[in-house]
Amino acid sequence: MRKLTLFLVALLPLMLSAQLSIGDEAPDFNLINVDGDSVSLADMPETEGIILVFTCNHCPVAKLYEQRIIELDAAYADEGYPVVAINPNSPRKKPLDNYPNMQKRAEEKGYTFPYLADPTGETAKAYGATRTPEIYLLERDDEGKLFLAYTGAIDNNSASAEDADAHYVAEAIANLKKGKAADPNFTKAIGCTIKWASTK
Amino acid sequence: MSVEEFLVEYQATDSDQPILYNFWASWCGPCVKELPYFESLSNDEDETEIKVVLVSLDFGEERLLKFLEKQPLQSEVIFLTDWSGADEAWISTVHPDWSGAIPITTLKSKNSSRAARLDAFENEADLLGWLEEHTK
Repeated sequence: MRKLTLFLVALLPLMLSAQLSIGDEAPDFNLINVDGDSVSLADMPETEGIILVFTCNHCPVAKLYEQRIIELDAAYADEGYPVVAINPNSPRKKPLDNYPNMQKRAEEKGYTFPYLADPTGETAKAYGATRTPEIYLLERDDEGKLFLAYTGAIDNNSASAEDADAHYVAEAIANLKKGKAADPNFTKAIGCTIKWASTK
Repeated sequence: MSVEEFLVEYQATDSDQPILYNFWASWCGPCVKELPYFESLSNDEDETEIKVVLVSLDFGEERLLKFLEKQPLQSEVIFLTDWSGADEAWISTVHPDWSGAIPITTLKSKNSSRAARLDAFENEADLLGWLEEHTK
């Protein structure tokens, strides 16, 4: 038993940097929104869930999904699943993704949801995010805890919303509302690498 | 070339030659920055027998061609015509560890095993070191 404990302790750093698994509790954060306020998951105890998305200003794939992210908030915020967007890129590596430019983008595009700066990438690392855009759909359990229900793409066509014929996030939420698990609960998609503050 | 056609080529085992596949796009900054390292590999036939294939994930072939006009490439360039709507399973077929973030570089060695580098190379020495490690 003691050996096992030592083994697990040795593994801990690896486990912490690994991808959050389906069913895992969502790590909370405290990040600055474009309006200057700090936002954490604990601030939103009434929601059914959260559509958490790692996205940014500069990435062309993120830009192609921007309108779809705005539409997700319009469609699901009132149903208890608001969007929370987090930009995990280092402003030093990508000036286009710095805080003033985030404010500008949110203003110009009329974001109806928080757009949070994660300049150290710590929150993205806690979730195991690798790219922008990347969705982490969180669902609240009976005890009020948020856990990961789906992670991956919004739908299956980055170039064209009209041509997408699988709407992963919408379908996952429909399932969750019926008390069923998201299916699929994980998808991959082409995106931009996160521009980490420090090189690994 | 469609994703389906590409995967047939990618998974073929009839050649002994190590093949480096780099997945990139003209819209991806870190990808464009590392292209010269692969190019020097294609130019330098004495030092290495590695074939280089640059697989473009541009939004439309026109954008790729426009880029190639400005920055011609000696390496073989493949344009995937339907990547943005293809079944996402293709990403795992390229490499199980790949999330879809570009750039990614894979190397098929002589014994058909497949190594993957999940981010950009820092410089040419970094690329050469990685190749040496995976072609032993």
